[in-house]
Amino acid sequence: MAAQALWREFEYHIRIAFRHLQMLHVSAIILCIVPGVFVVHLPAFAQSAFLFAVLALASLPVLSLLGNLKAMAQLALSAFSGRRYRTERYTSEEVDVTAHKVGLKKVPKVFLTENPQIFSPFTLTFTRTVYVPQNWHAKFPSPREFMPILGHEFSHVKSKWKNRLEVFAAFALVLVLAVILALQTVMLVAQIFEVLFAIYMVSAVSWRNEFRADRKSADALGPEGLISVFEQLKAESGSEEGSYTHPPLEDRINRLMKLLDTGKGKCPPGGGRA
Amino acid sequence: MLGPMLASALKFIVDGTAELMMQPARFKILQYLRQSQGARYVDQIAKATGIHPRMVSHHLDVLEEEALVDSTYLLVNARDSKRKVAVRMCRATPKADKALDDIRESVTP
Repeated sequence: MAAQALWREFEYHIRIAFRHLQMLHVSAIILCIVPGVFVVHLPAFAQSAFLFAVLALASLPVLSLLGNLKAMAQLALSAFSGRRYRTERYTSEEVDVTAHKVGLKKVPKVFLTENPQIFSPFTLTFTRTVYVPQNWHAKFPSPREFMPILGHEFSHVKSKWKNRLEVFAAFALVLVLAVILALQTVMLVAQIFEVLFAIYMVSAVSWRNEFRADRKSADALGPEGLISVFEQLKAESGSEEGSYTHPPLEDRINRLMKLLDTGKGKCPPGGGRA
Repeated sequence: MLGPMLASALKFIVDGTAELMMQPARFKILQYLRQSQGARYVDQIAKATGIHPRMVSHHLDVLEEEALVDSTYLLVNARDSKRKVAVRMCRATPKADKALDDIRESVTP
C-alpha cells in the first residue's frame, strides 16, 4: 500500500513535469547550444553550474518517460504472462471501401481485441494490421464514426514510408547538430543535447504523423466523424494535454474544424461518407 | 433482483443508446429538439446550439440511424429568393424522450 501511494505521488510529479516538458526541452536545447559553445572559456565554477543545470533539465524528460514506460512494460509483459486475450477479425464492406478511399489497394487486417492493456486503436505498419479495443467498437457503434477511426489508422499504413523517412531525417539532423556541437564544446554537452533533441524530434515527428493521418482520413471520409469522436474522447478524459506521441485533442479538433469552414474534406456526392 | 432504476439504466447502456448520447454535442441537440415544440431544420439547430451546421447534420444522421430522431425533407421559401429550397426538418422521437427520461432517472438520487 505504501509503495502504491509512493508510486502515485511519483506519477503525479511526473505529470506536473510533463505538462511543461515541451518548454523544458526547448530551453534545455537552447541552454546546450548558446552557452555550450563558450563553456570551455567560462571560469571553473560557471562551468560546473552550467553542467549541473543541463543535467537537471535532462533528467526531467527521462523521468517523465518512465510513466509511459510503465504502460509499455505492462503491455509487453502481458504477451508473456500466459493470458491470451481474444482477438476477433473485423471485416465488412465498409472497411474495404474505407481502405480504398484512403488510397490503399490492399485492405489492412482489422482486429477487435479484448486486451485491457490496449486503450486505443493502433497500427502495426510492418504487418499492415490494425488493432481496435473491443470497447471502442461499442463506444462508436455508428459506421459514420467508426470508419473515420479506421481511416485514420489506415492513413498510417498509407504514409508509413513518409513517416519512416521523417524519423530517419530527424535522427540525421540530431546527429549532425550533435557532432557540430561536440566539435565546438565539451562532449557531455553534445551528448545531453543529442538525447534531449532526439526525444523532442521523435515527439514532433509523431505529432506531425498524427495530424497527417487525421487530415487524410478527413479528406477521404469527411472531418465530421473524427471531430465527433475526438469531442467525445475529450469529454470522457477531461484532459487537455497531449502525450509524447499524440497531440492534444483540442488542437486536432481545431485543425479539423478549419476543414469544415473551408469546405475542404467534404465528401463527394453519392455516399462519400462510410 | 435489479431495481427498476438500475434496470432502465442498464437497458440503454446495453443497447448502445447511452454511448451515442454521451457525445456532448449530440446530447445538446437532442435536448434542444425535445424542448422545442415541433420540428426544426439544421440551420435553426445550429444557431440555437452553437454547433457547426455540418456537424449538426452529422449528429442528426447518427441519431436517425438509432431512431432517436425522425427527419423529413420539406420545401420552404428561402430568404431573398423566390425559389423554394429543401430543408431537413427534424424532431426527437419517443425513443429519445424515453432515453432522456431514463438518464434523468438514473442520475437523480
